Amino acid sequence: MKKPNAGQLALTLVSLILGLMLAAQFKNVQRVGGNVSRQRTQELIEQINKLEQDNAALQNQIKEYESIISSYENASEDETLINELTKTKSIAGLLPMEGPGVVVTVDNLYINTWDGEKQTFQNVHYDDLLRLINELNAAGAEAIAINNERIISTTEIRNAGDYIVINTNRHSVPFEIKAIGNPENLEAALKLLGGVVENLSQILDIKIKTESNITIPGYEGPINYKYAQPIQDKKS
Amino acid sequence: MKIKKEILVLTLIGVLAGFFIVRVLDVQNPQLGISSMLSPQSLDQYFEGRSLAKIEQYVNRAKELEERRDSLLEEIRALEEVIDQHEEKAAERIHKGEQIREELQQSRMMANLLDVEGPGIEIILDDRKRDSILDNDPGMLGYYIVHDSDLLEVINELRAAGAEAIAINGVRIIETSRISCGGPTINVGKEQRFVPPFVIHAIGDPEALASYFQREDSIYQTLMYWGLRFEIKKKDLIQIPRYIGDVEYKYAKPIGEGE
Repeated sequence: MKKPNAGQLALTLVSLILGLMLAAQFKNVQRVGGNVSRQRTQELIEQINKLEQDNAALQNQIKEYESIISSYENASEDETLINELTKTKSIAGLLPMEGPGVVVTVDNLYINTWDGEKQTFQNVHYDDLLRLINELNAAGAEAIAINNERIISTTEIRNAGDYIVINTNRHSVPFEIKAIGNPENLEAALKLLGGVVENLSQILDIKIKTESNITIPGYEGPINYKYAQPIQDKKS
Repeated sequence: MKIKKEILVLTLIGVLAGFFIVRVLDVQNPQLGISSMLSPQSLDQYFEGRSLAKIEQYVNRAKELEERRDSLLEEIRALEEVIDQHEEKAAERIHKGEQIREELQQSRMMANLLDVEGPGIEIILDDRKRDSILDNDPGMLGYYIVHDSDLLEVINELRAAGAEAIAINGVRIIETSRISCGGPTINVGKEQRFVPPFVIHAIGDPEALASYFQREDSIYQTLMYWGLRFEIKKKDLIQIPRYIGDVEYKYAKPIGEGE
């Protein structure tokens, strides 16, 4: 065993290096797991934010329920019930509403051709309206109507031939969007540099007006829930 | 023959020794960054290693908040029962009381204030999986990922197809829900941010909901063209929670309910 062979020494060294490389490789493989953990962290943060907001909202809800109950117990039962109905109907979009806000008119952009005729540059498309509504919602709109069709949670805005269908009714240009909310906020959100209106203005004729009092009709379409049922309380 | 065996053992020991030197040094003095000398990427892996402890913290916090939410919901259900009894009593005395109660329940349904269930569809929407096309075409990346406008289109089509209740990742969609882009996340509702994949639930006629996306002008066709993940599953029973959030009107006032 007493023969320090040069070849064996070299081999040990090579093996050692091989081992180091192997370890490095091992780390690289582990790294895939590292990426997953980063995504997981982000998901968890979103989840925590959502839960914190939910809990705050639920606590407000509890306070509101408590005040309703005390109103039933200490004030008039009949009046409380009617108040409840009014409040719920206004959340559902069933009542006409009034307040300050903006009026946005959307029309086709007409251009004069060389022989003096007016021609449409481009028709208003449903998703132009969809985007404007989304922008108004982002800016805190409380009630919106397009051509007096109240937008509720089931309202669709779709093209059907030359028309745009809203709440299953056909509409065509010009479109008048009325939104109740903080007029300055609503206007600013629409007029944002590089925002929806600036983009759409290249192909459509859009005018924005703030107003101190707008009235918006309630939803008047049919109400029928054929598939969705309230989940019954799990009373044991 | 004997020599060969010796060499083999020596090689094995060498490899193992090298491997363990790195592991031991790495664990004992991570600041030494031994492994980062061997692979440049592993430096941020070291930071991620530290984030594992943070993840555990987050998981615990989320669990805590979930328990809190469950107890709040229980409290809410109990209060709702009390309110229900008051409503019943009030309705007995008022003229057309039962009719008012019915109207109230229907309005609550429309106002998204009730947890609902029924048949419908589940949609899973996700960015295109990494593949050679995506890697060779970084300039077109925008076409391969889910945008806020895509979600908006999907929701709009579901409404057009007659959806009675819709939720994205468990958040009930109401008329004032905005869907907007916040960098890699998409905001749904007030400030709730989500990363893909998006799970969309809709209650309605499963057949009508699913077939709407087969139309030529459906967003489904566009997204499938770019190879995004867009799975539609019909379901016999889907549950969608009520809208959780404050509905407060600062500007809009109902115009006098003409009795």
